[in-house]
Amino acid sequence: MTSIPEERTYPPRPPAMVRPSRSLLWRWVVDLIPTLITPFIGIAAALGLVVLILEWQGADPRLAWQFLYDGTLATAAERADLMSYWMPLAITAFGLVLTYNAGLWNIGVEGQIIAGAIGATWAARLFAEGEGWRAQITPLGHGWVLLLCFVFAAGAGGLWALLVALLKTRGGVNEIFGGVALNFIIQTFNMYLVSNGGPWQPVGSRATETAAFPEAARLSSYGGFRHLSLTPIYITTAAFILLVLIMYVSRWGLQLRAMGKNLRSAFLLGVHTERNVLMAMMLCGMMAGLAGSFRVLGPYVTRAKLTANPSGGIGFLAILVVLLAAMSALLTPFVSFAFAMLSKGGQKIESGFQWSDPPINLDRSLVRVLQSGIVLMVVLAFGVRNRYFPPRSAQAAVDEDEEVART
Amino acid sequence: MHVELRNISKTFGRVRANEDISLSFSAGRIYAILGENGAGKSTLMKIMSGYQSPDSGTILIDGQPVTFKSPTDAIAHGIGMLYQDPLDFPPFTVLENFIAGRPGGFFPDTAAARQTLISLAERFGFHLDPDRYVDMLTIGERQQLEILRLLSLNVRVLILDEPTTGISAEQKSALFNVLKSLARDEGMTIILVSHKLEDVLELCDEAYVLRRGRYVGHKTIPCPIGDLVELMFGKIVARQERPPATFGEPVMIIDDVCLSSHRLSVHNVSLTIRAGEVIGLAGLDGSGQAEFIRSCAGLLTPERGTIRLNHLDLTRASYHRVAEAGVAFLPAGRLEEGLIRGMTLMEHFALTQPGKAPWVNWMRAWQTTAERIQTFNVKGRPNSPIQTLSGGNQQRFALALLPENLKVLLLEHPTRGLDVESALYIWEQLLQRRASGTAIVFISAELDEIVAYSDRILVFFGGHVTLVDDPADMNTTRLGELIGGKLAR
Repeated sequence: MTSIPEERTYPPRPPAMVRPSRSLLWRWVVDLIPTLITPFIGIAAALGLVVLILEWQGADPRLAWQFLYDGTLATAAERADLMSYWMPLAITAFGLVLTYNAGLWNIGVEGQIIAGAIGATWAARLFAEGEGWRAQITPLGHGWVLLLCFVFAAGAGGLWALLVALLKTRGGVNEIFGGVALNFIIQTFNMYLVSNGGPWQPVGSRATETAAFPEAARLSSYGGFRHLSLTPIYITTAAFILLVLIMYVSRWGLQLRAMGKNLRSAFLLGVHTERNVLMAMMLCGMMAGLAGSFRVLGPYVTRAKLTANPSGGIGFLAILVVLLAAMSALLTPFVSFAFAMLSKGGQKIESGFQWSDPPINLDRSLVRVLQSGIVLMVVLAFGVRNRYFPPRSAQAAVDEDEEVART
Repeated sequence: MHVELRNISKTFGRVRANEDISLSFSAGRIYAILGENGAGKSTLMKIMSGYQSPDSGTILIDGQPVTFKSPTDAIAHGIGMLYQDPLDFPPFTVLENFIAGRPGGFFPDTAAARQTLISLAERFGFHLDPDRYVDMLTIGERQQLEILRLLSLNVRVLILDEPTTGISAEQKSALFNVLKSLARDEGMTIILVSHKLEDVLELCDEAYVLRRGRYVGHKTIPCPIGDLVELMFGKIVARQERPPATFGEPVMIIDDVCLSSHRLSVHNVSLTIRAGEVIGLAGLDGSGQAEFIRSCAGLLTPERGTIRLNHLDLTRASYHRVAEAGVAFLPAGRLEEGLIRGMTLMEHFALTQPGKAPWVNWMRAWQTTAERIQTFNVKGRPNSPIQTLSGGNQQRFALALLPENLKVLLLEHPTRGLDVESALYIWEQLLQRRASGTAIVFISAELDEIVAYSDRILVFFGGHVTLVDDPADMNTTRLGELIGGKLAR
């Protein structure tokens, strides 16, 4: 057998690799190209899947595209409608950008929207309808009522999210499991309120919803469009500015990103991780709560009420949005707009084919297939790229010699 | 059966886990594979048991080259491995576990398997009830079950990875008796992977020693414990004369601290650390030094005793509180705990620099980072992601991140995996800090590093601590004895 080698012997270094030196900018551009192309490959794959389904059903994909356009962008009324669908989706996604960057998989966002809707309804009942302990007091004016609705909504959503966060930090319950459980609880509670003679169901009514809110608790409509109001647009824009400031300027946003990448290291580098978990979750819940209030406060009378399903699933949709936007604050508005278009246009595709000649029955869930398909395919495309064509930043440490060459 | 490993090499990324290792194992003998944590012994045994495949090199069984595609494949060739954590299914019964993994049809022959299990257990004097659930068994009993399972599969080479961790003394001696009889009477080859020297001396006939992924030597047992320590840790260069250092006031006073983690308990450590002092923590991996240093950092609360910094009681203080008081901790796994994969050097700086403003001054962060990169000779740019740096540069950068004017600096394996120049550079930086009054406490698996830089040495063995403060005692023989478990007095 070999003898004991001398102390601290090291194998000879391999000769330094001679590489053509390229500028840093060029390398950066070369790295960027696949990053830009990859999502489109995923989207194309998902679209291809939907086209196949449409062809199989005998529906003309070009016609579907026409319906999608008709149902979203063709007329001013459709555009206004699209806007009112987009705002709650966008603000929910903004909140999720915070938690997802911090590595918190806030599946409970759906329940936080519902909590917000319930909070807004409660405020509307208390301050506009004069229910409960405010029965004897004169109802407040329009502005005050709306402000209180938003405060209650944000508070309810924030507290519901804080509960998930406390379960995680204090009870050791993973936020995914805590969120799923709390989603069920709040959905059931919402049903209790508005069905089977529940406390908020109007006496004698058999519809699972509250009565329409009085004028004072409805958003004011804008430009004569039934469903369009400026207030949610202002609030969502403010939320977006706040999000961008947090993610790109603030120390806190940097801490959240650090936590998402390596919680243990972030803690050891001095980040108060537990406090940040609570704060990020609560802020996300507050934004989701506001989204819930947008969904129940009108402005048109048919939408100014708490229904059996106040969120309409936009919480889960927002999760897809943030995943597709790769948790980027700047991409989220665009991706959420595209998804709002697909959701809203999907209804038009369904009804359009129903009335076409011959009528074709397409299920509305086709749009959900497309939305989920896009996310799945894009994530898959990135997965394939990272596995087989890893970008430089994802590669293992480079050789020291090469590093010298680069510096 | 004769097994031979020929020129086995395996790398993970830039870590050379095994480098050109050639070993040979004959039937009827008990071998030890010795080495410190990270020496490459687990990788080598995983290769031998089919769990991983080598990058290059061959395994020969009775002179015939073989390749294993999976552990099942290796078992079919007669090589079975007993992992440190038993690989069984706790919600199943002993018998069900015994059947799982045995070749057989869709409906296993339960009655025959029961017979085999009972007769095998009887032969080796194990008391295993086939119908008990595995989660009711002790680790030792689960090991026995696993051994019986491997034996029933006609394994001729049995590899055991740290088998004596977490089992009682009786179980250990029962295990050793069985292993001895398997080797002597049945001509099996037994390979014990361990860093517990007393086990090796008690059980084995021969020892192969690995260090830093390479084979460094072979000993026939019995041999002096110091010889094995020397092979494992390397020969200690004579301690160089150093100018007498003057120490300042006591900064950290550790008084009668008792710690316990799931692995072991550390008993009654008392130590007064003075400003500007370097204290080395020596010992085999897992002897309590990691627990000790973590308790100083506020990451592990002592069960008893006090830790004070100057006049501040930090015994129960949180990690962040301890850090504020002027104690910094640099853990061993740089990219697991300490640095954040995917973030740039500048982002690391922005994250750690104290500041009251809620926003980050990126201009200043860029400038500071560029300055520190220069000062600490880090090869990288402010916008390089940290994982693209080499180990030495990462470690230099981790040092650059630490605040100035620390009272105590706690380091785990500060030069692990670094080449000589990088290690020297790190120590230069550390000694500069020491000169400005920072006390340094460090763990190392390199005895020569400990001897070269420490003013005093704390040797850990199985949770017991011996303080070596006389430079005359800092030699292989004395330290080797202490590390190997010969307590003072």
